[in-house]
Amino acid sequence: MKKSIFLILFSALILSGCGSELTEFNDQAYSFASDKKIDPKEYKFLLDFVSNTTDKSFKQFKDEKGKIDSLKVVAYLLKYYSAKKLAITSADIWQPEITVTKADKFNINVFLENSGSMNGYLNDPNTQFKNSVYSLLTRLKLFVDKDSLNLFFINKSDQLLYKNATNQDVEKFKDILNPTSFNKISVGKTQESDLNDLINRCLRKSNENNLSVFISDCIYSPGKSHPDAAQYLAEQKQGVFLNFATALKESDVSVMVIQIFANFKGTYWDKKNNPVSIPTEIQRPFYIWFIGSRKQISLIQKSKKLNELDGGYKNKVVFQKIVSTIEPTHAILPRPTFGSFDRTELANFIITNATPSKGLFGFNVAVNFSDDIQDENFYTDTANYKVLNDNYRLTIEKIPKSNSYASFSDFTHLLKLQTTSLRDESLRIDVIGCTPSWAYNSSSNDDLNIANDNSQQQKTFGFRYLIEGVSDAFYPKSNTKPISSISIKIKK
Amino acid sequence: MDPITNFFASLFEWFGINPFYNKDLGDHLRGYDITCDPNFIGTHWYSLIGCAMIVLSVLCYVLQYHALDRFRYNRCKHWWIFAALLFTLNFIIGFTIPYNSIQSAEYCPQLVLTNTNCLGFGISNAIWSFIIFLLLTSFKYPRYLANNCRYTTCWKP
Repeated sequence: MKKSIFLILFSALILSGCGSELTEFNDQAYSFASDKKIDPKEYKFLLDFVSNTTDKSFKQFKDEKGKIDSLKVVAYLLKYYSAKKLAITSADIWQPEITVTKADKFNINVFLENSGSMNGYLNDPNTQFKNSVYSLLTRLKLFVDKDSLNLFFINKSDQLLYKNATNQDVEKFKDILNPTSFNKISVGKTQESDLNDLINRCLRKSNENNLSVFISDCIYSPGKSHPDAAQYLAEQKQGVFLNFATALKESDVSVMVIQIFANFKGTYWDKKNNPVSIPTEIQRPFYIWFIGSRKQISLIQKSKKLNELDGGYKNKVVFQKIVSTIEPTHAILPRPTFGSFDRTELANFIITNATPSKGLFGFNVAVNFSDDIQDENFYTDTANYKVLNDNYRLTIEKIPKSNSYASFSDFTHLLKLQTTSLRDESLRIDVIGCTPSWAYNSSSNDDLNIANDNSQQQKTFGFRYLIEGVSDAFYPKSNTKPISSISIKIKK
Repeated sequence: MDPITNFFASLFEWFGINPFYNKDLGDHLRGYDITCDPNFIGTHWYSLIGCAMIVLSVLCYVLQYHALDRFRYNRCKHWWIFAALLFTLNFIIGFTIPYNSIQSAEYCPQLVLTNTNCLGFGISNAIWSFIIFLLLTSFKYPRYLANNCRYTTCWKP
């Protein structure tokens, strides 16, 4: 009898100690992390563990041919360590060097508008404008490295100042950023600027081998010849639309615009082309446009060089040609925010047995938008989303990189959805392209009182028309194709 | 999810009624791992505990009716003693496994697991082992293969 009782107890003991091979893998990975790093030997051991097991749980680390994807293993380890509250980053995990294909090289042509309206940004020898432009040029110089950086003044014609600029040339270019040099260099080469024409020239000079960077205050000048400013701006909008729509037909153009604020002192030309004296420094916006292929804009974005601009930038927008709708990596978080649901089909993006609580049902979806060329902030604006069921309320949060939840580690944004009328449906959430709200907030229709009106000082005359023209070209209202889209099935 | 896990999940959750513990513990036992992977890649505790519960119930039956099979242990009170032992053992297993997961924080942090839930699962596991033991010993066969305990059931002698 004693033997039999021992047998039962022994079976129970064995059971309490057993788990899947993944548990064994986790335990091993945990013990390796005691010194806060995974060395080559430990890394190899873990990879061998994955290759020698037939456990279904390890299928996630392999591709369709059964080959181990080491990046997936590292991603899992990071998730696991995060869940175990171990401060280990990907830099702490040894990984074999991956040969990175060098990005296609291209020239960068910088066009700085040198019309009289820009003088106000240059009147102080140490202006913010100068610092921002100089820091941009140094970053671009490093970015292109072996490719050429060409520096132009742009106005009546394109005035090439430095071809294949060296470090010394960049330094010299910075030194001529003052009104005296502007006038001396550009004598007879400036006129009342036609903003659309300047942008169109930059656009036409961009292609797979050339990226155009256009720096300007982007103020439309109707002048005295166009007494109806509204009519003039509406026409300019159509003009800029046509330029970009034509370019989009021919090539894969993308545009990124950043808004920077800098001190301004001197003469401002209002919409009637009357000079207005600004005797003391005020903060005024100016803009840097990057016009090139999607690949070029993506490289600029991924290099994060713009984050290093002196004084930073206030707003950014990216316009991209929608070739096909992308389905970003996403996951439904296991915990409903209101009500309850079953998690058994979450891997297939299906919520089953959805039940509201006090009439409310809510859940969160974590999405990874990092592969897209849009700015991270673009995805926090609900205006850029379209939920196909109007009964759902959507709010968005950025997921901080150092978040405490392992389940968030691969994602950039959290979409929070809730509804009061739950029903069986396939819920689609589209990311759509449209004019950013900051473009409206930064635009004015009247600048006659700019000397005294603080609100007008912070805005750019007619800017919304310019951006709307570009936006309409990239995202025509007749085209309903979203930038990216995710679908979730909800079953009650 | 594999069919064995699904089978035991429905068994322990009393075919959807789930009166003893919450859905979160159910998903943990289905294999929701520490990284909250929706593919249930963690240990499928339902299958392991369910299989163990059946094996232990059969072992308990074998012990009383075939390994021992003594005249002095063939009263109905002895049946109840064995049933109580089996019940306790399965309760301990059902309680200890999720309790250990909680103590070592080896579960998806998005799930809410409590000790009360562990108690509930322990009870559920224990009840099912009792039911299986009852079924094994209530019918003529296989009980009639024993010699001294062939008439021993929960109600007689």
